Amino acid sequence: MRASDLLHTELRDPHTGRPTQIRDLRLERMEGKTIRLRLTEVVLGGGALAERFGYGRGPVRGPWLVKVVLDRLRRRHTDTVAWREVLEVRGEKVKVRRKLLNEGDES
Amino acid sequence: MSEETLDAGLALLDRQVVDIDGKLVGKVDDLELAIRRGGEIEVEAILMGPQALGPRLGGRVGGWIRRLGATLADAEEPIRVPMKHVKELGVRITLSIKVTDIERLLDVEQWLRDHVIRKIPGGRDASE
Amino acid sequence: MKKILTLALGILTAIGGFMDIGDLVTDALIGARFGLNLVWVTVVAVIGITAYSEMAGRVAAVTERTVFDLVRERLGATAGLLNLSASYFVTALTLVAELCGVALAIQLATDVHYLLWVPLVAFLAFLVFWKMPFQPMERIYGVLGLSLFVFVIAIWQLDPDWGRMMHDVTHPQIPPGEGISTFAFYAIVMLGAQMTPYEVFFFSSGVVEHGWSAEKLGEIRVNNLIGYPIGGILAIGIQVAAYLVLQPRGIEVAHLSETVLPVVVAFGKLGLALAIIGIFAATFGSVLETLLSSGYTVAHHFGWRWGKFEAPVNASRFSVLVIVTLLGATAVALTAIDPIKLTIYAVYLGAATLPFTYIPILIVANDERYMGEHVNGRLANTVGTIYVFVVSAAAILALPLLIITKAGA
Repeated sequence: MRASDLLHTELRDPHTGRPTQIRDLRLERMEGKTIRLRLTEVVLGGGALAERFGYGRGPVRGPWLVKVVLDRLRRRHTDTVAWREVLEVRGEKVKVRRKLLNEGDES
Repeated sequence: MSEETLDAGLALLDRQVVDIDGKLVGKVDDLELAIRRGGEIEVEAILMGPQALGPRLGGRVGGWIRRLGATLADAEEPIRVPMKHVKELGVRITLSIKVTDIERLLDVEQWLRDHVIRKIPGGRDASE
Repeated sequence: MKKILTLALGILTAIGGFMDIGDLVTDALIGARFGLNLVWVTVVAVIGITAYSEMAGRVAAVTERTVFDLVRERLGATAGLLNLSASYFVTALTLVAELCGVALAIQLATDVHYLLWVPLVAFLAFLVFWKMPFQPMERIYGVLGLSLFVFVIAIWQLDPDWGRMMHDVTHPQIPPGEGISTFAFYAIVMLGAQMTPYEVFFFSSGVVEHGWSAEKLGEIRVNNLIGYPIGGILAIGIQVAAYLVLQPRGIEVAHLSETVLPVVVAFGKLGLALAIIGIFAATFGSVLETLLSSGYTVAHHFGWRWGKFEAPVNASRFSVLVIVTLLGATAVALTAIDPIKLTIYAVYLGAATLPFTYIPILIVANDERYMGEHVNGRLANTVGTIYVFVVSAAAILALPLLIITKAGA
């Protein structure tokens, strides 16, 4: 299964019930010498434009006007939830809970 | 206990991958995820190439890209670099192996070299 | 002493390289049609490209990444690919215009139709890419391009009313017979002719390929801060020369021959010869720049091996792409498409695509994770933000104005 299978999947936010999207997968680096990355949370919502440019987390400064505009965009419904609230492991497969199919149907 | 967290889309996808000598390998076009025995989901491998980028882009364009890549490389599966070969994450993703050790990576590059580039006379000398 | 010499050479190369067919045609056309009323746009554009180029150069030196490498990383796969397609297309279109430009320069000298020269020029370009040592070549046509300064010197020869010219330059207005939409259309054309995206791609690729790191930032800055403004003076010179000679005679620029008329009036055959040498050198240099830039955008996006110093056998995908692009551009040029009109379209589209590469670079330049201590300071950000508005306005107005003015008729 690939990251792209999960990213951008439309579903209902488990907290607000509103239609939203899987924007990103938050990973945690596990202990040890080799690099092992474990999924911890799923980032939902519409603030990804700003996040993508780096304004969400981390040290991106000015230009002032751009920052203000993107801050506003970012505050609109971004939600980070534990992955099990959104994904379900069924055997070999991972399913998205409350996935939206066409026209707001749910799976 | 190091609690380094990173977002797949921001820190991994579309990043440049270089080998142990710093040579350009390609971009992270997708990630392979695996389910571990405890029920955890882990990043298993970096996927590269049109067979990975195409499906990620989706739509008709993605389909063309995937098909074109699969035809040129004569393989349906993308280039796969297991995470155990990743040495360092950062602005670039650095591997612990050489670019020549990655299966099939240089196939298209080498095909074009042998069937097109080498057929044209002259050409600047290779210093390698 | 040697360092000063290298620096000087670098600047001279930059100035000569700054000029391309887009500049030549645009400056002469606008000078003939709008007089001195759009000179202010050249000033705006020169400041813009100096700032953009400095930023892209700084980013390239510190991060060792090129523009399109970073654009994909920050915009993601889909947006990055769209961006790439647009940029590749515009750069390739510019390549066609430059090919025609070189051929037209030869036509001016030989009176043999330019279409017959196009394949020869393309072949020459291929040879340089394939075999020749790039750096000395770059220096040669960079320096030869300086003979375009004959346009500037011609102004003195033409003995203008300096006071009146200064007044006209500083008090721009829409000339009689023109509307605000054609005025705006050509302002965007002028902006695109000087703020050419491919030049920034090429420059940032050069920084990475030469391995220039943070220590070279001073040199990069000097190069930009001196090179582009002097290039701007040259551009203004061509506008003024056209204003002095073409406008009073009601001559419009529809062929390359009209652009050199002012120099002929001022200096006769000698002037013509110098102008032709300058045009040939500058446009040939731009053929190589646009050709390589179009290859770079794709190679950087997909992470292929690339470079102008690379032996072709070591960078096959990139080399094949360059060859295919050159063949395609030659084919398009041979359809006898009007080179002047094509040039205007190419620079116009270049202006329209500016925000898509400019804004990501501005954002990366502000990101401490990439830039460390070399992040944008107040000045860079102030200028940078102003130009976000400038290039965005141009991009937003581009399509409507194109339709309203019927491409500047």
